[in-house]
Amino acid sequence: MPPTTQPTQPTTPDARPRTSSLRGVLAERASAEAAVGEKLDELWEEEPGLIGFITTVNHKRIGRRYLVTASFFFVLAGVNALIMRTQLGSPDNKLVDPELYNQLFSLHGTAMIFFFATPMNSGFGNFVVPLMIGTRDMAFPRLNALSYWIFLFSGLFMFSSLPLGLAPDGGWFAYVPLTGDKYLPGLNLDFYTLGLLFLAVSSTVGAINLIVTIIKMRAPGMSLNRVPLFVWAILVQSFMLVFALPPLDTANAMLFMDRRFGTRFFVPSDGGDAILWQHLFWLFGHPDVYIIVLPAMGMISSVIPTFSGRPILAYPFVVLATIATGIISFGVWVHHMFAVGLSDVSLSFFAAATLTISLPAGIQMFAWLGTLWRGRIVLSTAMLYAVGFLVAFTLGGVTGVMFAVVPFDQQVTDSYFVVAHFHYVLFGGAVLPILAGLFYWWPKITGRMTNARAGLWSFGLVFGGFNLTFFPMHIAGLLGMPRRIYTYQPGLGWTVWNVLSTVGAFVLAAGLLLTLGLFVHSLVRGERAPDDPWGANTLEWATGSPPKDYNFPVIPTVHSGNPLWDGRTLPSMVEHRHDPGRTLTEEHKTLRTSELDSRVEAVMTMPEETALPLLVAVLLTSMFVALLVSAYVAAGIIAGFMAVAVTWWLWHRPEVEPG
Amino acid sequence: MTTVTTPAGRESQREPAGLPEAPVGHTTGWWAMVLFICTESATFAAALASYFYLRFIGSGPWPPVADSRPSLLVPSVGTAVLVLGCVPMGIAVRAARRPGRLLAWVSLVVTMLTGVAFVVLQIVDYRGEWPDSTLSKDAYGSLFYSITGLHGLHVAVGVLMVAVLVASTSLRRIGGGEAGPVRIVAMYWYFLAVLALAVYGTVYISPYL
Repeated sequence: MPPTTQPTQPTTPDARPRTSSLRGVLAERASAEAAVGEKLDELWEEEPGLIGFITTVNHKRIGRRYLVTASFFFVLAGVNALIMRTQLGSPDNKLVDPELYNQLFSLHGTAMIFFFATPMNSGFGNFVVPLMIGTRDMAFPRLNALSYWIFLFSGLFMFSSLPLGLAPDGGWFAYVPLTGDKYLPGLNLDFYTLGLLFLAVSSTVGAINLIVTIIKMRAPGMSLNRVPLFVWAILVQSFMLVFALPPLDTANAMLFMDRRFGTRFFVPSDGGDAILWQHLFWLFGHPDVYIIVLPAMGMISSVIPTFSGRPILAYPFVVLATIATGIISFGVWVHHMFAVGLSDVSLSFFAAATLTISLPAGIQMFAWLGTLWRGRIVLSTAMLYAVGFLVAFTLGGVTGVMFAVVPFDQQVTDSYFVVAHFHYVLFGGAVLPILAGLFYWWPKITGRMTNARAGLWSFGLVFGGFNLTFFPMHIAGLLGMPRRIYTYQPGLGWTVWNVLSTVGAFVLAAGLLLTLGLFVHSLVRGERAPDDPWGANTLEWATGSPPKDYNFPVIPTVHSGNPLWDGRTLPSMVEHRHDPGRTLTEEHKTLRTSELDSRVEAVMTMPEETALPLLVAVLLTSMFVALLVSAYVAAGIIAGFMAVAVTWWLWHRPEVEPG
Repeated sequence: MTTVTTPAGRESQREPAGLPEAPVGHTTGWWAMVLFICTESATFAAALASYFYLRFIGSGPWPPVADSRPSLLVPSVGTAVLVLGCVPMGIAVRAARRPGRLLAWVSLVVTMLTGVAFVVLQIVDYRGEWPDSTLSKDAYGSLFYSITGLHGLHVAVGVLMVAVLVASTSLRRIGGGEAGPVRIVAMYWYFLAVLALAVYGTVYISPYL
């Protein structure tokens, strides 16, 4: 074998070697497609029409569905918020009654956290990760379809409670004893416990799927020190889900049994304890903040290097900071409980841990700032949102550090100051990066460009509206306004801040509506996107826009952490275009590589499309509905059917029955 | 000629078509089971932690006055049977790598029977405990039945997995060198045994300490 003949272009920090023009099809991909594209098209094409819709296992279709469905739930939960803001727009307002208001804020929080932010990240993970690591699908495509269907059905299950007038009404963290059957009888809280247990199935299998994909399916040469930061973030987030969801599931199962079967877990008079719920909930709840924010930070780490035209500064430190955040986040949950009355020792310990967790976030912040400092900045819409994130997340982080100070925390607990803080962290730290990610990957996902001028308006309205909505809440909170009140009297000094927040909420809604219009316009009229419109550094931009069903005609050899800038990874696609070990044109296959160094280990046969995931998801849905209406025998029988379906599924493994 | 710094890169230069003769390394299925066991461990950790939390947050005796300590004979036998079930499982893994299928089949059936015996013994144990401690009498009873019940449910799922292996071996789909699925289920089976010890130590032994 002759040595590689392509000249290497060393990646110096300040110069971005462009491997090809930013227009049309990459020359390397064109050459690879010409060699094997037709054969692969036949192998990877899925059924068209309705059958294809329900049987698909393609990670790109599933990823798109995740994004659309999560955005749909975002709109629903956002409408809840708008109704609440309208109600609070003037003192003594009678728009909604207290019962409905309780349901609105409980469902808003639950839906935004569980049915929007986390699945939105899964959507990006599903779509982008296999492309970024240079493979053809997820490790378990059928499981991937299953986790989507379960997510969809559990979301519909949860939201169906609102038109029935039975939405959860105990707050998004559902503290006992309020949420016991004594004080909140009715199905409201059963929708909550069952809905979250239902969704946890989807999140857990989705997380395991992403982890296995990342550790076993990376293109040859993509050793761990070359893995893109977004992929690292998804990896750490998925590990966190694997360990953080169980305490939440345990708590929800206990609450469900307390409410239905008379167990005494949370009943102090019979040896139970109400604080146990809080410990279990926040043992999940605090890691969950990073489950939402880490992938968002990963998106920022993708956007900033591309639009700064240089690799990220201090890559190893950013990776270590991501991992450290994941680990430390499991040791700070008690800062949500500083006002409960725990011992001074535990308050001191958790206050110190809370201060510690700001360090890795700081490291990442300085890495982004340094990258911007040394870069040549292109202010695209995605970049505007990324910079907006830096500002908003810093503000949210500063108020977060303030909560580590126990006396201050006790003073502002359950006030609007807390509401302001976590909206800066979750809207500023997750929604803004998600919008950055949407604008960044939109051309890859849809094959269309978005209008840059409209993007400026989108960013201006969203960022302005966001600050106008949430900044005054800091002040209202410091003036003593408690959260979760459905109205307030005039003359308390809160009115002006609430009016500002309400005006801001409508500006924000207008901005988001404009953004939606912008995306629809792009779908209908947008300019066709080239393969690599931004001159980016990672592998997803080496595929078509949108990518072909098989992603990569030739699986490349990755030569650096910035594969599209190293001048060698792309030519490897041309070099290997007649190599059956890289084109895999005989069957529905992709490569399996080693965990650390990404050496080729085997060729994996991938499953064909199937409706089994949908069947299992439908069975699971009917099981949860049966549990909701107390039809326990029916639920048991359905579980039996599910066991049969899952056995059937595992029986027909692609390794045993290729094709 | 350019220098490539990683082992993977060097390898791909020497031998670009480089596919190993036989598959090496851990499969995706193996990793999925490892992660499934991780998340299951966290679930049981949360449940067992709740047990000790509720025991020590109250100041009264444990079990509470109205309950008596759990009887030990039946659960001890059950736990011992389940732990010893790891032996035939281990034999099955080794046997599945070899040409013949008979030994694998027999040891899988024995493994499955140990699981069934465990579940039956647990039901027997419940019948002995029930009038004294019930699910809804106090937190002690709630913990007792929900933790052992959760574990029993897991063992039942494990029995189902082994049953599928038995069927697959009978139909010559696995075994005779194809040991992957047996290895993966065996890992789960060993995990069930470790869990059994943790549950036994918490629910049955710790009230005596």
